[in-house]
Amino acid sequence: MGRGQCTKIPSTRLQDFVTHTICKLSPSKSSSCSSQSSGTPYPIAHYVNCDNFSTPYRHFLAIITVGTKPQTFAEAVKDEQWRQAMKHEIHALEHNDTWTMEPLPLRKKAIGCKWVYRIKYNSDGSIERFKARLVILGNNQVEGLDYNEKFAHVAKMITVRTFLAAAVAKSWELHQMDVHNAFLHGDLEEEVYMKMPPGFRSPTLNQVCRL
Amino acid sequence: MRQAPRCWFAKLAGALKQYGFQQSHSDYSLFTLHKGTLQLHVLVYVDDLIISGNNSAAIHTFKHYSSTCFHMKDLGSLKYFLGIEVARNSTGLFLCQRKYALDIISEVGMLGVKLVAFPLDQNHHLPLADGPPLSDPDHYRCLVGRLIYLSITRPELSYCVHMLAQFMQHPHQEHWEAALRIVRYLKGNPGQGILLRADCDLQLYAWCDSDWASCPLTRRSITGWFVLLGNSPISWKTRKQHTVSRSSAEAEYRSMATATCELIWLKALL
Repeated sequence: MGRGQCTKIPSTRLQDFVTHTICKLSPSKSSSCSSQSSGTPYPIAHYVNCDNFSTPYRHFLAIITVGTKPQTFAEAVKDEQWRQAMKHEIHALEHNDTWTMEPLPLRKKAIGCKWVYRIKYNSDGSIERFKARLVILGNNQVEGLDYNEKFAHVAKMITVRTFLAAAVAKSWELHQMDVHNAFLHGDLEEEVYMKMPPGFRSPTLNQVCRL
Repeated sequence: MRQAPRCWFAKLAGALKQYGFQQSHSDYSLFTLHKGTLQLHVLVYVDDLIISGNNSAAIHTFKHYSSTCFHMKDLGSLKYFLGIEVARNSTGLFLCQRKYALDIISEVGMLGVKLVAFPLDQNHHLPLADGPPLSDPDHYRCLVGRLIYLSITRPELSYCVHMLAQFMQHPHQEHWEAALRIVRYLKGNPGQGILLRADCDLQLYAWCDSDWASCPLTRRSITGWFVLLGNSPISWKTRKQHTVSRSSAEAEYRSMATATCELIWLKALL
């Protein structure tokens, strides 16, 4: 999951209090709503101002600010869109030959998995699709058995800023690309077994997915 | 899967090299391609790629190539990357984490609080806090972690976050209050960010400073540095020095050394 994309759970420290009576206004309206009474002398609308942004950009900001997604499988099955999304993901996984169905060998442990949901947006802010991602519970993997080397580096934030600053100074174009199911593309060296994903059943009993 | 990111990066790096890209030695996530006058740069952040170059046709050719290798989606020009909102006009590129800041504020339930003008008390005694330890340190750790990520586009938070992050292991009540004060400060201007200017030379300018023995527990000094590329802020840091300095001059020399280190690295990167 991307940073800042996790579903926000209200703090347990605050559960005895009423905290969210001051609702967050969508940024595109913020300037016009500033006179509205929200029960506090310091409403957030006084401090968020998008007047200087163009209308399409405001639209984009408004949409990424709202949006809810289910937290658990039980919540998601109730909604057709999320069911579709899960089917899609399974389809993508099968299309990629991610696993083969096999009985679990002796002295091997299958690792569990769970669903993670998120909403993807287009660059103009409209909802692009509902995305369900099947994740394996990697915290149950054992070093040396299920994996050996696992270090992967990411770009330093200083590099990102330098890269952008240099590109802007040279007035170069900046484009962005995103890889679908990035981690499915890698080739696995180790032998790992996974339990069946929630909501899907194998035709024969005692089958697991070999990755 | 634990090893999935590693497998993926190896595969992507292989594909880029096959296309003729050179992996930068200063940051392995940066790939560059020089062919005559053509220059193409690709920065990889796990599954997100930023592409820039001086030739828009070449960018499109590269995009096409990478879409054939992997199942990729072209997101057009850069707009929203790692939770950073990007707005571009003729002045330059503006980076901010408005949504992220608002999320932090609403998460701690402080949308309605009064503002404070600066993030940390000037004469704070955070290292010597003797209040009750927090019963729920995870909450504090989570908040400080988010503030660390927020400091990507907010250099002014660098010092406060540096202070708070020292108490992750055993946070006390005072530390929690200081963290909440930062959130109240954030509310004053959640959309503040940095502007990377278009009209500038590619010259590096650096500033550094240090105080002397400001940490009452270890007597170590704190170094700070700030680097501009032309007029665009790119690198900043507040860091405690590794050794105890016996004079302020010694501390200052150490801070210059660290800043020079950073400059050498940045020069290699450019």
